Amino acid sequence: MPDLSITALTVSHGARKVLDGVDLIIREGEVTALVGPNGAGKTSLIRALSGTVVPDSGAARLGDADVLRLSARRRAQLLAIVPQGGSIPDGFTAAEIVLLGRTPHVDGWRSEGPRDHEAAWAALCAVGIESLACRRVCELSGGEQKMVVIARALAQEPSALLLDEATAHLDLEHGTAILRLVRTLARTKRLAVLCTFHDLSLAAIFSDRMALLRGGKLTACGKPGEVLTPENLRETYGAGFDVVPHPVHGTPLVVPGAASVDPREPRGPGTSILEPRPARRPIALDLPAIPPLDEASEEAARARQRSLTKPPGSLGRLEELAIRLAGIRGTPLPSLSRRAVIVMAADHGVAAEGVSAYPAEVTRQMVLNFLRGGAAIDVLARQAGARLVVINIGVRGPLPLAESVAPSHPDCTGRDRRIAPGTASMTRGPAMSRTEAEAAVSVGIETALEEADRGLDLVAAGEMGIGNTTAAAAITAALTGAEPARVTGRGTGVSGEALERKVRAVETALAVNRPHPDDPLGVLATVGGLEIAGLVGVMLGAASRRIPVVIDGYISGAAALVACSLSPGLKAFLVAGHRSAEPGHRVILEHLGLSPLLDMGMRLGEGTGAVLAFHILDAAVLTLRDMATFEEAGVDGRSS
Amino acid sequence: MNPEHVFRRRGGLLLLAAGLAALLLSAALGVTLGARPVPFGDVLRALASSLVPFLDLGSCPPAHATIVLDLRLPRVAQMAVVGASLAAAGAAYQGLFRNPLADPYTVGVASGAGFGATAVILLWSPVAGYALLAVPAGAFAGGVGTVLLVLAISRTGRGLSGTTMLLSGVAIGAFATSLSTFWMLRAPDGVRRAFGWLLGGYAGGGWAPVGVVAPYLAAGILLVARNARALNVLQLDEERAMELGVDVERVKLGVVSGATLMTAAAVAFGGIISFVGLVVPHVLRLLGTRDYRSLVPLSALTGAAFLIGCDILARTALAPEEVPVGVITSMAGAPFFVYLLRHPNRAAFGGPGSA
Repeated sequence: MPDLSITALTVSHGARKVLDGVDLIIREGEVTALVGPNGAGKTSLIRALSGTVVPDSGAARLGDADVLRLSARRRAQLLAIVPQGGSIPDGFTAAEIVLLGRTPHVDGWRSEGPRDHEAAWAALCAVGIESLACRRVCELSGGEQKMVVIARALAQEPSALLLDEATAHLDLEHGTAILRLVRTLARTKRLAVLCTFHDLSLAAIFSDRMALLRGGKLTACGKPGEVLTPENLRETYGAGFDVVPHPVHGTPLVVPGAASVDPREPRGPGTSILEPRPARRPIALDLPAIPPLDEASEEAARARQRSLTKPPGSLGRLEELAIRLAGIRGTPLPSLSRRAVIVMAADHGVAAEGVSAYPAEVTRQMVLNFLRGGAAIDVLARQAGARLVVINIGVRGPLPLAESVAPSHPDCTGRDRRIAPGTASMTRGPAMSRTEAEAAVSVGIETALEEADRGLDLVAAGEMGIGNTTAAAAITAALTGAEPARVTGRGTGVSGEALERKVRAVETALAVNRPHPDDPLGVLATVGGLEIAGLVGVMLGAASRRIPVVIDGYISGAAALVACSLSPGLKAFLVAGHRSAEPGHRVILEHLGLSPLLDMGMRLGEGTGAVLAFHILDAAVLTLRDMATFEEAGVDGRSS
Repeated sequence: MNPEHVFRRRGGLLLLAAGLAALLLSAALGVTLGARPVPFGDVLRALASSLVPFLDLGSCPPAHATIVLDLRLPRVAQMAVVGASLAAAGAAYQGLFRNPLADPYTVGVASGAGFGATAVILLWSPVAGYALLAVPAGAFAGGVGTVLLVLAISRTGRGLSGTTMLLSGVAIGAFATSLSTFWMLRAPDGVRRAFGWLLGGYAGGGWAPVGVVAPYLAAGILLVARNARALNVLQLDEERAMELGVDVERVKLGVVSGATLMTAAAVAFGGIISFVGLVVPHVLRLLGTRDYRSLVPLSALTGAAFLIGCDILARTALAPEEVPVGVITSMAGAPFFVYLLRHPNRAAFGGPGSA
């Protein structure tokens, strides 16, 4: 295949020259990376070559032809484009999209023939997506869609391939896979490949040559090491970038220099109003190990979803849920028959600051109500077939749990695991000591393991504690860096002056305790609560036994935030039951990347929203387990 | 996996056969049913005796023969031409503008064509004999004028804006309609002459109007079919189509000319018949036809069958009174239009045009 040599290419938008006399040779069998800041003219260069903008002057020779002066059809036979974004309309299969790449070779009234099918098939094989041929493109992942578009370009059987930001919107793994593929294609098919990049280090790894554009002019061209010099970077991107050798590849690695990252500036979240604590303290607690998701079971469940009598993906998130539950439980057909809601109850010193609509005494009274079977969680747990486990982890005042359970309420257990009679007020100092927080987490872990031993497939994390939305707000602000006013809500129903008081309490607590986002246990101890610490333990304990945890509202969410900071692997085991009416809950879910199953405007707590979501999870596993496959039902699958 | 199997176009021929069958069935019903039902035996006898002069299948009452051959058959043929034109034009406009709400009426072309036809009818009285030829020509001229205006208005810096296109189509359509109405009111006896036409007054005009507009349909559908594969590519994006070697401007010109020819064919003697062009292609899409090489001919067949069916209803619902067929299509089409608005993702063909 010939080289693509561009000479004196000039392009204008109105009166402004976006490309000014660019000379560039893109060699066959090589990947040339086109880099430069936003607006340097990278995309304009591709658009000029693809014929979507008309250049003022210049030439682009590919063998004997000047692609700038060919008909659209002839040019598309020589030169293929992989655009940056571009939606693919619904309903097309991958094979149909790839076949569209044959457009420049199909003329007049003719439809695609065997020769075109052959070329399209070869393109699918070259990219390695034969197995996706009959899938609808809108059902594919971003990385797979990109591969389909690359296959479409190859189906054109071009001599040169131009890619605009091939890795845009792709994660690290898929982006790398695409670049590897592009380099392989350049080598094996002897294509002249031009690819624009924003990530200079990535460009240096995957390209043979680099071209640096600035203000429409080519300012450097050559091997990556020759182009990515400190001088070139300074002239192009400004001061403040260093080039160091890549520790693995030896290619230039461009990093923000010391000058552009001032260590005195706030660096992490949660420090906007606070000085960071100097050192992170070690965790004395022995956290249980969290296993990875079982990929084999997930894959089996995914395969079953595809074979069920419905269009693939048509059950939406139910399908994803069922697949993930399979991965969590480690079995292709998970059962959720044994379920529990664990409710941790404790009092908060901050309640004395008038942050709640109810007096602190209500915590104790409500726990008694749980045990008698009269609270919302009793009703909803009964309806969902879940047993209720109430743990007194820090309620003030006498609470004879075991005797209080009503005889008519056999599915309820009350246990006394009190660490302390409530916390101290976090506005005046730490809510509790680190040791107390660790002990409360341990209680949660033990409770989860105990329940797991009794038989448990699914658990909801609920809580009771007057004043605990204030603690949840402080935790959320500390760990996500959000402004206290943004994450402090009405709780049990405060408004006006009381709400202002609540926001002030959170701000004061953060200012007094200075919790550091890198020290989640410290956050928990200084501005958290005993029941929140208990729930952290419940989540970690349950996940260590492969039990999915449904988180409830704001307090349960704050516990999840802390628990995920302690053990990032936990996140895969969490399901967000619902979106609470509390504004901070949204911040937590966004931070954790969880999307809630329900949005019912609930803000009660107790685990109610989580237990309500059990029904959705039931639906997910039941459809996976009980629906007939096409084969069983004798229904024809898609005729593909 | 067998590559040929992967790339095979699915169900095209089967659907085409089904569309043809539906058309034949509705045509058979259309000549049989009416204010005065004619036994199907008589229909066959009348047809046979007119096609093969010396074949005698038994006697058919002369009144029945007249009803079938001179009244119902030309009317069914005309409905077929109008329905096929509207539906195929609708499919073409939707594909070209990548907008699920495009059809000859929403893009304003039908109203512009209506203005052109009104002008001919009011200027040229009585419209009979060779003057009939001028009606579709006037409609085509009016349609072309509208398309040019709409395209000029909705052309932004980068390609056509679908939303602007629809909105300007609605505006220019309304303007053309008001011009027609104004002229109608001012012209002597204009209301009777032109309004009767608007409500489909030429239905029952015998074979002459059918013969006059059939070439418009034929030319239009050929022009669109010629560009059907390019329309598939265009669904990606205009720029993608250019990159894949499609001469986008030529395709647009071909499709717009074809669709406008068909709109003129429909409007010239059909009057105002809305929703056929909108609904029929969408029903076919919901049935899984997305390839324009199948969608355009299938739309024509289905549109013809649908309009013949609506016309049967129009003739029989309040017999012996006739309801304008446009009333029936709107009654069936408007609820579906609402359904489309409420379910843009199911009914539309996705893509940015569905905004």
